[in-house]
Amino acid sequence: MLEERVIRDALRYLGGKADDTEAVALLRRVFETHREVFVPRQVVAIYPLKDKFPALTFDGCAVTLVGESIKKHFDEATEGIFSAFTLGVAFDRRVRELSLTSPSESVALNALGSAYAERKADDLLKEVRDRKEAEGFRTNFRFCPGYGDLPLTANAEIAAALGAAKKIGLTVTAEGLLLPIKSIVGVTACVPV
Amino acid sequence: MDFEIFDGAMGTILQARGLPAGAFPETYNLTHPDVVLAVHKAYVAAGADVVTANTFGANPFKMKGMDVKKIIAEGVRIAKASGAKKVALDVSSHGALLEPNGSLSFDEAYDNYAFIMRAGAEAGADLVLIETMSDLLEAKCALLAAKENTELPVYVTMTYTEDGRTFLGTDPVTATITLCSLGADAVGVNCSLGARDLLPVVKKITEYATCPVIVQPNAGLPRIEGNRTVYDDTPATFAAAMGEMADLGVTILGGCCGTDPEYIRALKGLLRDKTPVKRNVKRHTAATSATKTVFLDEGVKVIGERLNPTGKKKLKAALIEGDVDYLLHEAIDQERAGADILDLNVGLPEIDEAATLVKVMKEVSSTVALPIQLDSSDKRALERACRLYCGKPIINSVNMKKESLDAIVPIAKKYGATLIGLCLGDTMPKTHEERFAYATALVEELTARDIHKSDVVIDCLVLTIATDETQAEETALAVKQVTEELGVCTVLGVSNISFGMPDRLKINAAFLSKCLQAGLSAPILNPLVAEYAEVLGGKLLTLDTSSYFTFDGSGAEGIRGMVLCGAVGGIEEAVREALKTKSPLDVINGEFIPALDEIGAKFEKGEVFLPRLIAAAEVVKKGMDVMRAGADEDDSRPDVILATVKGDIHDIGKNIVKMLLRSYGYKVLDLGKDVPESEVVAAWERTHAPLIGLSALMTTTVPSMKTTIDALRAAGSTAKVAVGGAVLTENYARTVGADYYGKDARATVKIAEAIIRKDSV
Repeated sequence: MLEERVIRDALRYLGGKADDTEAVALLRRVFETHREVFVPRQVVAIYPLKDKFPALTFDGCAVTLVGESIKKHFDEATEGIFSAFTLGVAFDRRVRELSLTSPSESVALNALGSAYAERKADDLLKEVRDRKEAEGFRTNFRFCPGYGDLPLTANAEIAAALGAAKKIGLTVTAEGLLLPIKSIVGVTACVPV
Repeated sequence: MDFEIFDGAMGTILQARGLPAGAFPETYNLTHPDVVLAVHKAYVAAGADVVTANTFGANPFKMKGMDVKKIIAEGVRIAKASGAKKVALDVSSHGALLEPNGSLSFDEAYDNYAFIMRAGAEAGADLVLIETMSDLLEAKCALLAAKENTELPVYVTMTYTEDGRTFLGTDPVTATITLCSLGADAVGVNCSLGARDLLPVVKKITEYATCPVIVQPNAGLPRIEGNRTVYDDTPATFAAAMGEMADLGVTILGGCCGTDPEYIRALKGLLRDKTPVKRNVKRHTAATSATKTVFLDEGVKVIGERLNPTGKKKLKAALIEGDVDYLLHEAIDQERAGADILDLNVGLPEIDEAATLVKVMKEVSSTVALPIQLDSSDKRALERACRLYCGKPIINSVNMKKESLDAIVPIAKKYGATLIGLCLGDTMPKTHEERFAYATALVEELTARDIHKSDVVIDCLVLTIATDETQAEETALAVKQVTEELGVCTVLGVSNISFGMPDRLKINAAFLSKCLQAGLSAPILNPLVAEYAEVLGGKLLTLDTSSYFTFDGSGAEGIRGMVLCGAVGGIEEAVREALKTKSPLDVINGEFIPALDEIGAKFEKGEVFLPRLIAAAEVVKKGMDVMRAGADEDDSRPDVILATVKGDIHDIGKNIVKMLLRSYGYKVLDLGKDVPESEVVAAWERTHAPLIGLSALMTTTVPSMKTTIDALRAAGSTAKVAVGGAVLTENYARTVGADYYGKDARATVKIAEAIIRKDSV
């Protein structure tokens, strides 16, 4: 169940022990209390891989992905699933407000947001991956700018190709940071079986 | 008046014709002008009166290194060559969030928009279309740039999600009232959803828009089919829903993503049989924030008065020290207690009022949802704050003196503010007749100066009964007369009635009751006062400061036990009891610090999780507050300056460090997030704090740490610098020139102990 996985992950992020029942109960309560600010939105598009040298390029999409790590990620792949996910600004605002009025709760909510974003983005992406797998592909994991030697600047390119600002309200700063804060941008490779 | 028909999508059509996703469609103005022209011509042939130049994303912020002026000029030229009756310069978002939600400054965004507007106007555009906006502040910024740099009509459309709000939480009523007040020539909605799904949003807009309404929906919600994005609406279903919008009074109609000339042809065909509907829109007296509208003409509204340093020592100290957190606490408490609007006054001779008003306003408006009443007599401060405020503010206030009118009215007019007219001029009114005379003169003068009557609120002026006991009665009578005869809303600073008197709250409450009966619209008061809550009958709430997020402190014994358990309840009493036999320093060094060390050690060993450590710090803070109460204000220099460096907006880690340092008794000056190096240097030069802590979360912002540290050294700073953040390591910290690496909040406390208490790490 999503909630259980999220609480388990958040507890780990916060340096807690899995058998700390009081901590688990508190995290569950925080999650339930602030449920309305967890508003997941995702946008996905699939583009065929055009070239791998000198950098990865895709048909129908103006994204160029550089570095050895992403090349390895796309080893034998022919298509890429581009995805962008965000929890929205209301979540950021709630964490901020709580940091002033209830700091321990704010820290707990922040960890829950990180855990939820990862898990929920995975769940949403799974629908697309299942479809591609039904079409005869093997898919790997979501590779995000900042992993290996794929620069953070790729965030802006991927987000632009997905129209993420317009479609889900995800923006990228000049430094390559995603806003709202609980956002994920990445590329999953599809390898023909 | 006739319908004005706009075209439909450009970007999705160009993508269908080979433009790669993520590439700039606007470059086609230079590389494929024939393709762009063909699209425009097809829309004109389908019946569009207005074609939108292919300039949506043509912004120097996004198209770095490109000749954006030429791209805009060509875009307008091609559109004009289509033979359309009018050409709209198309303008949209930067794709980045403005401060305080993001790191793009209002001024930088304005400069970009001003550049775009001038380029479009020079190229011959007939109007400006600011579209697909999620951020109301950015829409305001673009609208101001258009108005200040061109003579063109400006249409503004926001984009809303399924929940009826923009991604940043703005609802259509708030956007409509704000943009109309700022002088938009048409307001509405584009993109977002399909036409039918947009009807509830459009209905709201038509109820409040005091200018024509424009709607340009998508051809339904986009979905993925195979590897393609498809839209579900057909031209016929699209046009049918657009017909219903025309029946609501929408007069400017077109399409957005997924629409093509066939949709516009269907729309044109449908509108041929319709005549524009005239809307009767009531103009409300209102104030808005980014996410909320408060109508002063619908029931009593409470204006919270606590963000004002007059007579408040702690708030005054917080303003001078730049302790924004203190002000934010005051804002949150007032919101939770039921205030509808927050008065904000930062007027102190020791500070730059304009800079402080803007800084606090930004922080408050990004923390609470309430509209703000900007309370100042400083023209420069008001102008800057009104410009950067996201929404329709209230200005407090103007009076009948010519210099006041000349200074304040143009600001209210330009920024669409609601304006409080104070019953005061060259003489001080004593009777209700004199007040009413001022009120009448103010309404006449302000409307003559082009402020709409609905944007005028009268302050009947409260004078203390200490020197004239008739003042309560006279003021209430004035409120009644102004309400009934002038038909405008009223405000009063309630507590002024008892100035210099004993038992003030009872007097204030009685006066409040009297004025509410007289028809007072909005009392300005402290919403945390129980006596007012009684009078307002459920409008205000008793502020519940207890948190459900508490750890089980049932086994906690003594101060140490409470800190270890993170149990906040009871700590104040325990500290008061301890202070009967011990000095404050003994309580700190003998109880708080050992307990914090103990819980910190447990955290380091993984025996407790982070919220427990933070809760311990919260308990200590509450205990320290008891010790500080009644003590003289601490005006010593800060021990530590903290900042999240330029470009980085992730400040949660820095805030945890701040919390823990403060619980250990260190005085911390928090400069906030996205802090330029110059600000850090200035803070050190001002305070000579011995330790500076810098945080950054991402690899891309770590270089800002280095430039900040370099700037500090160049300025001769002797402070030790500690750095921390997710991507930093001991080695990385050395590379950027830091003296210390703070792995986590606990480690930073140890660093502070080493530097400030001369221990060793």
